[in-house]
Amino acid sequence: MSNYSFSSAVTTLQELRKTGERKSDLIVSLGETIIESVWSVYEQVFIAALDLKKDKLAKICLDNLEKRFANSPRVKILEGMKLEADGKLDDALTIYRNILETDESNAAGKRIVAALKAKGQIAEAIENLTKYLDVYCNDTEAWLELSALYLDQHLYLQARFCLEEVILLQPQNHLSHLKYAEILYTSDNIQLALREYCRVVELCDDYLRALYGIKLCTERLLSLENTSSSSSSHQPSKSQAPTNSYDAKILSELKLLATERILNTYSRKSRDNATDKSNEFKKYIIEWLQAP
Amino acid sequence: MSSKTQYIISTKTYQKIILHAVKHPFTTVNGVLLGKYSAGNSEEVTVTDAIPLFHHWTTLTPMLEVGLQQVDIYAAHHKIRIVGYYHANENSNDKSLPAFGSKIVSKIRESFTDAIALIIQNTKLSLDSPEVAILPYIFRENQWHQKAQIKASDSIKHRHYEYLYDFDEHLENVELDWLHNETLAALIKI
Repeated sequence: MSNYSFSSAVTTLQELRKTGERKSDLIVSLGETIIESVWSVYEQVFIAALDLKKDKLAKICLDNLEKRFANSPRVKILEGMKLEADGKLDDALTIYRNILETDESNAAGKRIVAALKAKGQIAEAIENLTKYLDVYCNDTEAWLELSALYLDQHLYLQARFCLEEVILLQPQNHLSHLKYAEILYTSDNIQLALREYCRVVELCDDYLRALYGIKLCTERLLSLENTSSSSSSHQPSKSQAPTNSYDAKILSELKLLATERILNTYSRKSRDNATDKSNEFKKYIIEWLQAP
Repeated sequence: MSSKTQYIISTKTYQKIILHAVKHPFTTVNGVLLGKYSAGNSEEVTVTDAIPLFHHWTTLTPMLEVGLQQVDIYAAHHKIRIVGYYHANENSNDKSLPAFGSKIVSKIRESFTDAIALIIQNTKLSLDSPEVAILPYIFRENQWHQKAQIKASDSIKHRHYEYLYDFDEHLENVELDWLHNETLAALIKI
């Protein structure tokens, strides 16, 4: 019934129940749309119930799905997830590996990575995910997960590579650039981090997290500049000055600009609903911005 | 620092930590603890508040620098200081303090030698039969030791976590006051 949305179908059926009308034709067509979509709801609710450790609810969902789709690998994966949630990781792994034997391209490959990660076998998880990405190299979610695994191991260079892949796939997504910038900053590549933070602001106006990043980077670079120029005042050492190093004047201006934009963001806020607490809050930010 | 140091953790602190973990059940979350030495007793630390920091990612440092500096300013205004760190792992069975966590604690110890680290035991969180879900780690002889459990209550049922905002959320919406968390504070007082 295309001219009925899901929610209006539910309301209409409710009204019909109340009035006791027997418009069989209408009820069947409305009911069909709802019943068809119930399976994806079961799957969705099942996973959320596992997150919250609501075992009874999870069981109801899974039982219904198993009854309806007896041999579906997609439901088998859900069984595996239940085992994962119960801590039976090896049993879950067996299920996933069996699925992969009959269907190499199944999403079970990603579940294997999750189960290995839960077992604390990060190296194996990384190995499996890398294999998966050899085939599905445009799966951004998988690249992000791989970068998170590398970050847990403090392998920043590898994590950085993953984000470069993500950026190639989604060059306009400011969040990819943001994470890239934060990895670069953490691995002490401040110059590149600054460039990436600027890119975030370019893609998403006044993005606060990136403005903070720009302020941090410019401060770090300026203090490096000061120490290196005082130690070797006569000739700037070539090793310390990479080819794309920024001018101190540009850095100071960038820092000022970022500070101004941050202040502006907070002032916009307190104009709208200035309570005592929000003014106090702004006071701390200003104090932070003015700190030497 | 003495191994005899006792820690009194306020109910508000406990609730905020738990609510932060509950709000983001599938990611690692962390934050810092504020408090001071109890009046006239240098062997007792009162932890009065918890400030939630992150849930997107916790291993990257730039926003941690900003966050800690801003918490320092906030604490100074309230005549308290950062006295510890809390952490809930993504993996619900994981009760360890990861390397970057102990790094943050070491950093806090530079200015407060009796700093405490708290780990959330995710498996103890339950609506029907809530157990004590925080495990304290105390720094002693270059190792973190587990210590006795600490008590407190449950306000998860009332979904108070919806009103708890961390620094990550603040960075996405400046209106969310992660330092005061005023709405939540009023709710959990009842």
